[in-house]
Amino acid sequence: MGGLFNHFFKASILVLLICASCTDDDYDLSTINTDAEFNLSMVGPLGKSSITMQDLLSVMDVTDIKSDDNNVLYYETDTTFRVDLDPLELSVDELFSESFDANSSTLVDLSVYNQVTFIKYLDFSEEEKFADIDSILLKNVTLELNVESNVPELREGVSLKIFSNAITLNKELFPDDTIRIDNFYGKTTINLSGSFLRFNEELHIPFEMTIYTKNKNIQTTESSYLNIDCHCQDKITYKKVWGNLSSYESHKGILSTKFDLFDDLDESTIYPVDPNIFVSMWTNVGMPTDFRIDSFCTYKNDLMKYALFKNSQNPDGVPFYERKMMYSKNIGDRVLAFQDTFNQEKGDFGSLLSISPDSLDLKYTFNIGSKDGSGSYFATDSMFVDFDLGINVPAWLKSGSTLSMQDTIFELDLSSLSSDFDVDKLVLDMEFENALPFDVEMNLSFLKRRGNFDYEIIDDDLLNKKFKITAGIINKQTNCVISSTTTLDDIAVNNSNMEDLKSVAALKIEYSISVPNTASSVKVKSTDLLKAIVKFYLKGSM
Amino acid sequence: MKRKLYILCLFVLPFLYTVKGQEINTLYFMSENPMRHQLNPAFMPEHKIYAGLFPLLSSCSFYVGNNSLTFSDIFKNAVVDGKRETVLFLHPDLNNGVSDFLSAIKGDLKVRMSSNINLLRFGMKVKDMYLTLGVNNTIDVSFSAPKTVLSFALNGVKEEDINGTTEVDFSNVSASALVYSDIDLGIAYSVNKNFNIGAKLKLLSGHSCISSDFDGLTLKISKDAWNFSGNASINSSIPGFYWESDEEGHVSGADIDDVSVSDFFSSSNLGFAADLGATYDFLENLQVSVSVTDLGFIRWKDNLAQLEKGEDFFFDGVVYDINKDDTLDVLDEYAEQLEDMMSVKENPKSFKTRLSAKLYAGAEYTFWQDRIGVGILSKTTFCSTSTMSDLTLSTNFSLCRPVAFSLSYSFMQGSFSNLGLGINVNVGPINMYLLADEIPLVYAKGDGLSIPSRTRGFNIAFGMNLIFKDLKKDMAEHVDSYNE
Repeated sequence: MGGLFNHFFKASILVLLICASCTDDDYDLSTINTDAEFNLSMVGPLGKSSITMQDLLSVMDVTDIKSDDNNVLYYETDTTFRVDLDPLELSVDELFSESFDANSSTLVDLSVYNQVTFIKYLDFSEEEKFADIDSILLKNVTLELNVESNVPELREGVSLKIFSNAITLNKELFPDDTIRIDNFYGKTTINLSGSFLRFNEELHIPFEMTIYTKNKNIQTTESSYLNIDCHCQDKITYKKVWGNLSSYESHKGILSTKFDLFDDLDESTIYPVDPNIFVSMWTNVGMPTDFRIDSFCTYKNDLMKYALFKNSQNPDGVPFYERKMMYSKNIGDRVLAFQDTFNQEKGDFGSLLSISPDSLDLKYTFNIGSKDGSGSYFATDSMFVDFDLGINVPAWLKSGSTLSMQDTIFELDLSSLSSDFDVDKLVLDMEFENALPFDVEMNLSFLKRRGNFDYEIIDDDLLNKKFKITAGIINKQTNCVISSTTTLDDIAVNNSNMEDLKSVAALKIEYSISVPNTASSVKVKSTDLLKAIVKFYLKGSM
Repeated sequence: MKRKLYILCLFVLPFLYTVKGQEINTLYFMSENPMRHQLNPAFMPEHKIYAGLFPLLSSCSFYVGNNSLTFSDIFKNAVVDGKRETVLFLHPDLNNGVSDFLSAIKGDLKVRMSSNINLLRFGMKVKDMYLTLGVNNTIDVSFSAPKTVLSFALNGVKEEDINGTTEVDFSNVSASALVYSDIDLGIAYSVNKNFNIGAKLKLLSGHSCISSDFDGLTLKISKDAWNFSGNASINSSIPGFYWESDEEGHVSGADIDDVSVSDFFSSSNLGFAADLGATYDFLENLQVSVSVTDLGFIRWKDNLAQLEKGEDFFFDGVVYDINKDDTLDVLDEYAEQLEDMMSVKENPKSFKTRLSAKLYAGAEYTFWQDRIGVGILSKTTFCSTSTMSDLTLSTNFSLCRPVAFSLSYSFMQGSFSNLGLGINVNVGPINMYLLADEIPLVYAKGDGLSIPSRTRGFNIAFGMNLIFKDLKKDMAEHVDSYNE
């Protein structure tokens, strides 16, 4: 048995020796080298974006961009103002002054009958402003009566009653519509606040004044006298005035409204085809008023731009625009007094925006009151005019309009780009599908740090790239984009650019959007969009 | 350096050797060997009875290799820094290293390691029949990847395709590992003097398995999009093994519990297989034979765990939304898509693994009183995703009765360098044999190592059996011979 195994194993070993005897001279396993390098190429999508005009403007933080029924964008902002109109100043120095001597029937009657009644008038005929007033509801008005006499019996126990059919007294102060004053001597004030005065054509307010004495025996001498003076405060304030108030002075002012359309558009120039400035006014003024716009002007820092009116009513000097306001027919009613839109038909308002302004001023003048002296109107002590001043700029831009923006993305750190992977070639294919009515120029600049807070552009032509994207196809009748155009471009870097790429700390992107020369003007719709697709081809080794 | 090389060889060698099946082709025409009925159940051993000598040594075979690559395809001779060195095909100083590597791959790269051990083997002739009984254990690990997948992994997108679409089809990528045992009962029947038929039935019992199933799984890469679509699942039946998942069922890891040996003997993972064969002697010295083996499957029902691909992955670029502040977060979405692609199936279904069936067709002509035989064998292996064919030319010498040699040369997957040798010794009641296919003839040497440099795989089989002759028949033959 052992011999059998011996033979078997010897034969087996012989076979193995035969098999294992040949050496492959191509190899030497003592010098084996396991260094490896993978050379790989890869393609793929990197990113894509589709930006509509609406998106773009939203990002620019312009909150007042809207679109009309045809999706055409427009910028609209308005500001409301209230202009309080000062009430009419009515002043009366002296209403009346009466002196009774011993021979007067007044003193006689007092001494005989212990009372006397006489008719006096509050006379406003000397006051020009009262000329056409029908009635006044007084606000804060006091009459001062000053009574003096050398008759001792008239200094005490004398009472006064005043009544007038032309005056309706304040019921809270005078419930029976009669003024009664006891111990009527010296200075006495009568509060006429809330009283209603009705003027006749002669501007007299007649009233009946009755004086009573308690003393039955009044002794008068030749030198006896009784003086009664009636004064009103310097200015009569009123709650309401009815009549024809023709002597109002002018009100002048400036309304200034800010708008943010150009806030992020440095170095931009916009030539809108037809911007509209709209002015609306509401008022509670109850009398004819002339409203005049002296000028519209816009400001941008130190720049100022006026717009001139066409067909101005002032052929002699600076053109202005004047209209009559509607007025309120009923006290308390707020009525639309004026409304108008100022566009290219009324003047060169497009030029106002040529300086990319940030504010719009409206200079105005009111002339309140009827010039013809007829009619019945009213005024109150709280008259106002509410303005709504707005501007509407359709995104309908003339050729030559250019919008410029720039953005810098900081805190980029490409230094950690794998050193294990050597890039032989990196190509970023860019595909732009432009359905905007603009040519777009985009300038990419890679920045590196020069200090802690300072950056400089990396001097590498392959990294810093300018793209030109052609505007969409524009219909010359509608001025709108009807189809998109496709622009292809790429950024290609190779191994020699990698060190520059690793030093990138920021990316500066400058955009310049302009109306193409091929169109006289373009309308921008909210749905107009720019699609960008970025794909890559990477070849390298690791 | 030595340690580095060992580690390297540990990873590389499994990919160097090829096996299309566990069986060694050289065995097919070795008529003195009682085990050759494993390749064709119609073959009747010459001995009245045979039995495995030891439970584990009756027949053992081990196979490792691949269908395309040799050591010389992976390592090259190059001059580095003025010195000649053996370098990887990926070495930066090599020109065309990767392209040469890829051109060496024929179709799909198939890598396989397997072993088959006969635990028990017995055969006995009963009249015109020969009955066999055996118990075997098989380990079979395989991996297959199309050349296009490997090309993409090594090159990425080809230069000429950068503006087109590169489509990488993973449908034919497969990986599986099976451990199973079988009990086979075979019968060979002599229909007449010239015609034998045989059949063998196998009851299979699976111990553990993991296999992938990719259906239409395709990666399309272009500048416009990356799209990974199709169906994929990974089925397993491994005692104690389970996939870990998050709350949404997406796979987050894998773990294995403590298990005992008995856990691997599940009565639920059963399968069946059959071998069928026939031989016909056209002339006195010319025999043709045909057989189909391993026609069967195992259905795995126990210890199941399953991963299933969910949504397709599609990436057509990060969408930059000007209205959102932090657009880079979008990348997280795609990373999540990738992470969540595979889900753990809550109630995994049983699954079936098919054995790799083989079709043998051979012809042998013997002369000099059967002392020398020449044969030709065609073998076709039906794998799950492909079919492979070998052609083997064989010569057998049995100059003296106890010892027989076999020399074979195979044409395997376009490679001619496949020498097979075998020796079979039958002395008294002892049978011993040692067989090998694809014997390496050329070795890379150095540093005390010898690594076959030109072969893709190595198959070896050996065994010891007890054999008992039919003395009456033997005596009758001797008498006839004497009379002649």
